[in-house]
Amino acid sequence: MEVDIGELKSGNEQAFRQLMAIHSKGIFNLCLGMIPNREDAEDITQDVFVEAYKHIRTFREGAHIKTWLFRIALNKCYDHIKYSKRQKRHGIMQSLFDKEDNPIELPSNFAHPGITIENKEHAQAIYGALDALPENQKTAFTLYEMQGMDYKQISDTMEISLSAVESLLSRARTGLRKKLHTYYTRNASY
Amino acid sequence: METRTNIEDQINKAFNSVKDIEPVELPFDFSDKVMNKVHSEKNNVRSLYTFPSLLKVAAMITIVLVNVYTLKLALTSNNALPPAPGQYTSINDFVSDYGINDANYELVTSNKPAHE
Repeated sequence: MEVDIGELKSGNEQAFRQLMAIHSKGIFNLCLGMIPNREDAEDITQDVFVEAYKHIRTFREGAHIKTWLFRIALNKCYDHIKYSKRQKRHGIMQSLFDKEDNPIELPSNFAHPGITIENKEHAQAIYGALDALPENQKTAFTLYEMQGMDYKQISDTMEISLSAVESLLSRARTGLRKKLHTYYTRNASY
Repeated sequence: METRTNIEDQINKAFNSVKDIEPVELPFDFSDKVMNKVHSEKNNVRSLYTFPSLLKVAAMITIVLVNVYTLKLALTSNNALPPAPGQYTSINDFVSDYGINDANYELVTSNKPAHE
């Protein structure tokens, strides 16, 4: 089921509501994958659709609206992450810790409603490790592991080649494994 | 050895924890919230064109124009006005008005002290 792009471009509110009914859940879960906090992810999802409504005229006929919406969502998530990191950097305490001594910083406002209680601790650790990865590695990992996208869908969404997706995923897994190893070794020693 | 196996096990559990994430539903009024945001943003744009806003813009433009006109007048008026009585535009006018003789005239025009 898809929405008539012509109707969307003419500003038909009903068509836009239909678009939200189809894609809002996917966008919301993508945002939750990038930012594990319900309130933040919901705000970002709202912003994604406001942006889509404003710029629907620029949407190229023949392209996939889902991919277009996912791209907007990813950009919004990047902006949010950058903003949060900037806020953190201003904290006085932050400067007191060496990055090497503290390879994983557990997300302080972790509130992912899709994660079960027994998995919460491990999920928090992997989210902390993901935050320390480069943006594109984190995105590729999130889309593949959490969204269940295949390589083709990831390459369309991220606008990169299939081999680049493969490489990003491999580097992300290696990086995560290394960071998690340090984290669990440190925790086991105490 | 046991610790190492344990750590590997923990890492695998961490990787699996994100695979088991349940999809989360949005609140039922999500679409209404988005549409409210869309409409409020539209109204914000429209409010730029309301009467009080236009009045503010008009007042701003008037102030700028008055300032520009005043500055222009201040810079050009000195040259355009005729010299006031007792004000000399050249030394020759001064000499002819006071009837200074040739000897004094040289002193005045050369700006040298009289005792030299």
